[in-house]
Amino acid sequence: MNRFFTPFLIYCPGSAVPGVPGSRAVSLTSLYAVLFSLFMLSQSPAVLASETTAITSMNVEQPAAAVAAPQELQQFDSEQQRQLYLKLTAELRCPQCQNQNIADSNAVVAVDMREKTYELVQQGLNRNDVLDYMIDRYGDFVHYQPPVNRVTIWLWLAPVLLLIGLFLLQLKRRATQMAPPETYPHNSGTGLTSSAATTTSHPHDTYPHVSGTKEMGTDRDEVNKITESKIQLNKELDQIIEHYRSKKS
Amino acid sequence: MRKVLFYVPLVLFLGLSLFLLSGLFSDPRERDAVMVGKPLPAFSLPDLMNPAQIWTPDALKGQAFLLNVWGVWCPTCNAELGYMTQLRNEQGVRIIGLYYVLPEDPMFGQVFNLPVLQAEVATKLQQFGDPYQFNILDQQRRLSLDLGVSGAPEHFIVDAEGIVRAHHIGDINPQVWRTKLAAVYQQFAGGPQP
Repeated sequence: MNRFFTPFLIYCPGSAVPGVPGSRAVSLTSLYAVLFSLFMLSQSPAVLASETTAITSMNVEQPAAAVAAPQELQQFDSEQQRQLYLKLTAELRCPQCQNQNIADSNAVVAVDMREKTYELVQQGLNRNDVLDYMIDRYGDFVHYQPPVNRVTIWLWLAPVLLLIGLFLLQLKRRATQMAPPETYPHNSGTGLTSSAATTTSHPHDTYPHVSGTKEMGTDRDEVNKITESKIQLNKELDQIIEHYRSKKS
Repeated sequence: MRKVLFYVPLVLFLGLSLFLLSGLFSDPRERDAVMVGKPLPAFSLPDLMNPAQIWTPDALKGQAFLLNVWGVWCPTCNAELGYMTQLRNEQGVRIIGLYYVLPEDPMFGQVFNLPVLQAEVATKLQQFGDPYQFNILDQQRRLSLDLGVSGAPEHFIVDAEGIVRAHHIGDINPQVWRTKLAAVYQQFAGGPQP
């Protein structure tokens, strides 16, 4: 076993041969082979043939992947217990093959946990008792539904707070957008003058900013030019807006 | 106000980047150590090499030890035998093995065969080094389940009173030992041993 590979190995017998040393590297190696061949495919079409044979030979090397574990048949005293067992194995998470529940995973630990769950359900324990039993041993990690505590409460609060924040932001924006019309009515009838009025009232943010750069700028004429063109652009924009508004009303 | 707002996306982006960056260095196998601070669960299991000897939590008390969950079927476990043997010889670390037996598949005609297993273990230990004081045979993996073991190799540091003081998922190498386990072991074993 290459030392380099060991940290990446996660033992999942669903895709490897239990009991055969080195077999757990097979799935990973074939994954690398697939990735590598994809990479080579994108490089040159000539390598295509040799690489595809490499993949098929990798597949031949792991016949055990095709052999599924014999289906466990479990007898329950009641339909209720059967349902409970199915529910529990679906919501308990396999600590080894992460992101699989213990019903899906064929890792040794998942098989053991299934057996234990069966045993506990047979003993008449309810859902919470079984969950507590597993959480006592494997931590909150083992249950797909995280507990509500001081750390995890943000999972629920954060989206709500974000929504409220966005809503407030929107309200504020509306308020600032609604403000200008109070100055408009004086000029609304006069077309061109109104556009001049808007240029003075509107580009509040551009003027101080521009004057600031003007003082610091190295080439004043250049800056002035840009400023003028910006003002011109703003004026044209305002005219267009005014035109649009008058058409609409 | 507008200037502040201008930097909001940048700050959000940097925050997200840092959060994701920290994720690159996190160990996905790391879990909350629920066993730490708890006494060893009750068990009564035979010795691997000498099944007449039955081990219980009380029989292990008296001196801190490193409990190593392992099996000959696990390449990483075999790879760390050498370093652990070094730990035993040079630092006097008391290492007890908890032998994790893979379930046999009757479909392949596999049945549990203790003499065969003992021979395999003896060969491996001869090949890579024998760090163990003794091995506890957990054939049904009941103790492993009670300890929250998810596979092999895993390690527990247990103090002289039988309380679990550390749980490490994965192999022991010089770096892991130095940064994570040595301090805990020495704290409960009473300083470095000659």
